[in-house]
Amino acid sequence: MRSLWINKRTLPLFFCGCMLLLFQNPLFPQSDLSATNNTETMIHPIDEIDEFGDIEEPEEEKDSSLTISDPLEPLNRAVFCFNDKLYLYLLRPISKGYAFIVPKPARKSTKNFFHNIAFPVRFINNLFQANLHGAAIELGRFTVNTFFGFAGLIDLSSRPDINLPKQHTDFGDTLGTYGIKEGIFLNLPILGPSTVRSAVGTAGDFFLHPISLLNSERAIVGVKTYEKTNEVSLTPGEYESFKKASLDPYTAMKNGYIQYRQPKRHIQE
Amino acid sequence: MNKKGIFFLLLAYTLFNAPAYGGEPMESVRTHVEKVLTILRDPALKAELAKGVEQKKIQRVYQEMFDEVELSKRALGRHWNTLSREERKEFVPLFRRLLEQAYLDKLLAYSNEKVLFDKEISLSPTIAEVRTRIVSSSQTVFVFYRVIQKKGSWKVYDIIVENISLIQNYRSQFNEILVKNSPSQMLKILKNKVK
Repeated sequence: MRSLWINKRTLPLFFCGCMLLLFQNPLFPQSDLSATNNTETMIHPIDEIDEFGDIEEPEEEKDSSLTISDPLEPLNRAVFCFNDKLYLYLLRPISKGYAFIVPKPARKSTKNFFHNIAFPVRFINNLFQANLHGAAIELGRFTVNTFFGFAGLIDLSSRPDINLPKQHTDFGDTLGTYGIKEGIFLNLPILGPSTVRSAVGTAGDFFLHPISLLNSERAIVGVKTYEKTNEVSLTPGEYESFKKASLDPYTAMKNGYIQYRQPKRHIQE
Repeated sequence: MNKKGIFFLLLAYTLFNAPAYGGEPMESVRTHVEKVLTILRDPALKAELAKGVEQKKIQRVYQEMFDEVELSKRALGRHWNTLSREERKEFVPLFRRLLEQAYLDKLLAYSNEKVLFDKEISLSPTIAEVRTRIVSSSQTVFVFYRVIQKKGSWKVYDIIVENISLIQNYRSQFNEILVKNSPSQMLKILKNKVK
């Protein structure tokens, strides 16, 4: 029996196998014969590397999927300025005043509540995309948070012991799964960055959102404004630090939006 | 122990050793993030930071943590080659200062939350991604660090916050600026930003 595994004949083979595994090990990158630019640093002495030299393989090649045409750029930039002023002179002071009056836990609960009532949007779009896993998680989240989290005021589902993560999706994603292209980039007044597909999606989602049951436009706008104010009050200074860190805030916002809309890698895996 | 036992032990050793991948990238990121957080959570220093009086301590950690030349190359992309050597040398510290501010602001906003180090993924023998999560009662923010091994240590060359790569974002901005302006004008814009 024991000679079945290792005997005189199989021992060299076994040894070769071990060596092969060992040298494929990323811990030993020196052994990688197909060394790329990066591994050169390990082969040559340090002072030979010219850190400020030219680069051979610019990164842009990987960006091709991230370009969305922006023929309306002048208009979009004008809207960006408008939204910027709107934030600066209206939304920010209001949300600051609001944050002063309403304590943080209450604002967090409000955010949870709004997220919870938007459940039909995420649930139905997950179904449209044949993402049964996502739909099931959303259903679970809604059930737990509605019945045990005081009508969604507490997001129990996100706690580590329950661990039902939010399944963000919308009608724009649904259109994407059916092969509809993003279209051009749009920067909408008040609503912010979008694409043609996404804008259509937002309109579609409106009818899935319980807010559409309100029968007065004024009430709908009021509720939406309140939701937005509450959201901003929870992340004070976020927009300011974004602007501070950007050289061209419009481009930064556009690129950020496009990247954000890409499939989430950690969820795919 | 019989031969079969030894064989399995060896087999297990070779098999399980291969994908283990040292864990060095994650440890490197963890050490630096924790250092930054310790500094940020120090109430005395926090007050000073708010006044912008002293950032030396954090700057030292940054220099250990980030590969500033790699960051700059990737942020400029193909435009890196159009800059003269002197311009490149001027660009690197300026861009580092801009990133310091951006990263500091991000971490300051979350300095009271818990940072979880989930896993590391090997993308090539010298490149890895360290996945972390910032968890608070109201939200979870995914922050991934791309690290590159140079001169034996792992250094950060990109930060991906909620699917948004910081370097890619800056690349789009530098591209926008450099198709309309010369490198020296771009450096002027950058200088005005970080002054």
